[in-house]
Amino acid sequence: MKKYQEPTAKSIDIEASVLLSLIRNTSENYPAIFSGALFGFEDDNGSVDISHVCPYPYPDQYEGGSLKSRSGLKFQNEFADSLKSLGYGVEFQGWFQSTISGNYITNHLVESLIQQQFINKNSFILIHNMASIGKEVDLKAIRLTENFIKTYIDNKWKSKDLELNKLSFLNIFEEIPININNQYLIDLYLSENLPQLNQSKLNEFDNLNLLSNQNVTSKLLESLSIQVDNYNFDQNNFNYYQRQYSKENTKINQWKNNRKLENLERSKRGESELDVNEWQSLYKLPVEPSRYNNMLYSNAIDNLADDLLKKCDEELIKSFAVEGKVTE
Amino acid sequence: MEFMHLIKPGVAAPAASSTSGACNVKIHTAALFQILEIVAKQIISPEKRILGTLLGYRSEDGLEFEVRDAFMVPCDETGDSIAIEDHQHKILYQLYKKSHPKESVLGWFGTSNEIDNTTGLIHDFYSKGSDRAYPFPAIYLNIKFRDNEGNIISPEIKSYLGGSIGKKQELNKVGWKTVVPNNSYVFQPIPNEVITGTVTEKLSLNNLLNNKLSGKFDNNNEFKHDLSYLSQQINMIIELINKLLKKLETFEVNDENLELLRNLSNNLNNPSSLSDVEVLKKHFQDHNQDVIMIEYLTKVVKEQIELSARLTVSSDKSRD
Repeated sequence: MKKYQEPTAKSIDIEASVLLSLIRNTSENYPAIFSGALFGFEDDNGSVDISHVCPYPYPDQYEGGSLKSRSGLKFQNEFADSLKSLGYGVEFQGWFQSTISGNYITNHLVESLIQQQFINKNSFILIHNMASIGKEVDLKAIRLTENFIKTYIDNKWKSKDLELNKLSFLNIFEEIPININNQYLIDLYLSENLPQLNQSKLNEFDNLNLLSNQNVTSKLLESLSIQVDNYNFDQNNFNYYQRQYSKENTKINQWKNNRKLENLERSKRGESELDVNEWQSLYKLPVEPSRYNNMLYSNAIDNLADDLLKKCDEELIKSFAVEGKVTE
Repeated sequence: MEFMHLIKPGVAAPAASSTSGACNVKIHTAALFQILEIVAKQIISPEKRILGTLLGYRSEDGLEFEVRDAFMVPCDETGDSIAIEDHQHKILYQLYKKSHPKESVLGWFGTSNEIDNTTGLIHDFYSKGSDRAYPFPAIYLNIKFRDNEGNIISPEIKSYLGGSIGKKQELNKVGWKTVVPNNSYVFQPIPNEVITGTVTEKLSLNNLLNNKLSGKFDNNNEFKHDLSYLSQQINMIIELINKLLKKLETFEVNDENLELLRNLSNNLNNPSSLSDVEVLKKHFQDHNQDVIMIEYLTKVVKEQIELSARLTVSSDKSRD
């Protein structure tokens, strides 16, 4: 029997080299989604220290694809073995994955993450949002909440059960703060070479490539429309259930009223009353379908919509500013 | 650091480039940090030697090296001899090769204060045998982080190409190992620079630089949307434009600049509408309308989702 264990990690500490190499892997593989494993250890101050990163050999076919793949796991284990043989006492702590906005919220990813959280209560996944709207680099560490895991263990996904565990599409995940943990030597190097690094020459004209990120809005819209389609499909099932339910309910109420009147008649005539709960054997109320997918879709839509709104705001500000200057 | 070398040092590797020109080593920040972290975690005693393998690309003419990653290789040094765990090196390299099939071993890094006999031995290890730099020449990157008194100093990075001197000696069989005791190398310094790969990487490096004292990864740049941040960004753009203009003054049309030219023509080859203010205004209006429409519809979707969730809950409650 699986049990929820409260995570003890209050923050994720990442070493500078891990941060840079995972960002290099995700951004070089863009627009393909890319993932990998993170290795490290739990320290005594309630945080998980990530010291090594192991990018998976191939880009993902779909969100959360490599997290469950056998070849990915094999590669990850070999990597872990080699780290051990070098004398690093590190263990697998979580994953990183690149994504666009809320697209990462899928069945595959949630399923992998929850299994991992059962094994290690402090497991997490680092999400690199390539749309990075309003931020220079959009990186967040997330794990599933207590509410979600408890519902998952009960494996009941009716609205009543969600209500019981206080779970809605807004609190499936919780975010864990990220800190950067620099080794002393790196700090020393950075402070000494600050001006030089600031004007590193390579690729600075890459900024001229305006086409690189231009269609973020259309990508977001595309994803949003896919998610809305998914949502509608699921919601149709639910609506069908609700209609069936009210139909049956009307019938039952009619039956109950009839029986009440009948009983009244009988009591007047001095006869014994008939069972008022007999309807239960005559009618059957439909069972509510699982709300699990509905929740995931809702969360994805919410994330996508938030990013899209931010993007629109940004776009409007820029557009008005440029328009004012150019057409004056 | 200034370098003046007129020709590439002569190296004795079968596939060494025949063109002579200036060599250059580019080190990715991620790789450099990795090396520094390896060093920082391994310091046990000042005498202990730390070395590892450099991975990345080399250009076709063999003059440019791009160090993209590195890993440690354990070694045991006794007196004048050194035992490198080549098995470990092999396993790690083959693992790396799986996820980065196009990259190869470029050479090695070490942390000594001086070039000695052992440096030659290690260089020899990396210059020969399969799964190493062979048949290309190996490079040697040294990170000096202690001064001569043994105090920690800001790391100094130097790179070298080893040119062999002297006649090749006969193969020596020692036990079951074949030892080629050619450890006479002359290490010629070659220039190196630290680079960042993608734009995103550069942004995160800047983030690291700005926050290095606080140790926080400032993920919430939204707070920085004040005027000082804006002026900082505008200054950066002005600086970039100036640099670009400078570059264009002394411009050569060649393959290297092809990408830049393409970008420029994409950006500057504007349609005639850009010069007509009325048409331009119309374009802007249409665009803004579109954006507002998207914004409006997105808001509706978002609210609908919330509403639907609430309705489900309340319909459930009224039922009980």
